[in-house]
Amino acid sequence: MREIYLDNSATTYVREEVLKHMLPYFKDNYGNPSSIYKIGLSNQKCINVCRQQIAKLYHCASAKEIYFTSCGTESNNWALKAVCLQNKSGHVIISSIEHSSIIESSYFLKQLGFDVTYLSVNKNGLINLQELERSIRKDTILVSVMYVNNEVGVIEPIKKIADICKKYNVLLHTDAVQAAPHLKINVQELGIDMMSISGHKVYAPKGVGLLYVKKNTPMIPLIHGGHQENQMRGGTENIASIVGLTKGLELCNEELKINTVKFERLRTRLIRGLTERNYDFIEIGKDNDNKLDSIINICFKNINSKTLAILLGEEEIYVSTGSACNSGSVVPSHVLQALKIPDSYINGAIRVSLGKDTSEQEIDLFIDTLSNIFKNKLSFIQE
Amino acid sequence: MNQEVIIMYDNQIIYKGKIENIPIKEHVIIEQSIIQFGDDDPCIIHRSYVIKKILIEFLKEINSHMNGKKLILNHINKEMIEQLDLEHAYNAVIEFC
Repeated sequence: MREIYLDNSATTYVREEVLKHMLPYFKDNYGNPSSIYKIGLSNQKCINVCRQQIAKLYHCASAKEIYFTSCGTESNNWALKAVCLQNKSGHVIISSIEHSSIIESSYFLKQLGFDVTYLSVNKNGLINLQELERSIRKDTILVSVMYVNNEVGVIEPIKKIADICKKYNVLLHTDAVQAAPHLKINVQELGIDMMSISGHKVYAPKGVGLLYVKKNTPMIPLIHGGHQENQMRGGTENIASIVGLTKGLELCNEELKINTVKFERLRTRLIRGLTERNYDFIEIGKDNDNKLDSIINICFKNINSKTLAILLGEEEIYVSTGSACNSGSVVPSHVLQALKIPDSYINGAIRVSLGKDTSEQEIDLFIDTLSNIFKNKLSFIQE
Repeated sequence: MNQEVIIMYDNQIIYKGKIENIPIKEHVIIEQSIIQFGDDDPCIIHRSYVIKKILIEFLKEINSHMNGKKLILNHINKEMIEQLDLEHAYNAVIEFC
């Protein structure tokens, strides 16, 4: 049976066009970009061309605002730590539904003596702009709010957040890892100071990402060593993956419109199919216009989603559940807890994240398989 | 898997509780964790996944042999019973509450 992959927010495969662009850099064009002979210099040029292409894609003022990293997590860590560690103390504001790389970095900064405010969210995952403005203090140095939440797909009002930050002269970072595959991004229009992106969400390889840093934003390295990335990130560059990332981002950008229309159609089909079968479920953020159609979080009542996901996996249908590890037990994720999902639904959370290849047939098969599990194995999944 | 069961041997209750909480032998958890994840020191997420998989198979086996509310466990796959961390499980009787 063919696998049905509905976990594109977790990762994507490397698409053929991306792989084709990467291959020469594994074997033939293998020079160290820091070397001063032909095969090194050509790779240095290649990286700079990639930088320029991405800078153009995101309307950056300069290609030098793009720094290549190993992943979104590194970019997130770097953004927070670079801003904070230039100060002895200070105050940071993040949303309570940030990716764990932001949350855990914030805990680290708290240990160092920084204050952190965690903005609450409403039932759709949106932050409250008044709460943000009220939270800003004289010593606030950074706000970090993710553009699109990976678990529920909510799109935060980054431009409005940027306007508030500008008013108080506070830097704004956004984790755009889940936004990059699905939204057109113009960093100048958005008004952000820093932005994280990851390769493996855009049909590019794992192990590569980038951090956009607006010109004149004070930065320090996270990784010390060589002169790479304008002396801001030591380490021989992963040229093949940088080339792959660039190609992946370009292709995603070209396909945005087509995929947006398709995802709306697929989401509607999925929800209609579940509704017709009279399942008791909540679709997180269904009344929210500011939400991606490609990330659908469904919470079934009195169902154990971990067991459900295992049974779906046995049928080669792959989804995520909204659970996390916390002090020796498996609990609902901090995102679902922040959204105050009712107790009877929170353990039944399944995230379906669509991809460019997801078809109507796959959605129908997913619904049918769910139906079979609910009919024949309800005792397995009931809470 | 939240159904309550009683497992009895020689008129003694050797387990009472939900299927999902039936204890599994530690070495079985580790073996399965190595098979599934290559991890001989599984974290809670790997542990709970392995335990769930084992109990899903156990419940499937019980359901396929159950005729009524009770079943003598020696009617099912012996290897499966040996995974349970319950003394005398092989000749015990399982009953859904």
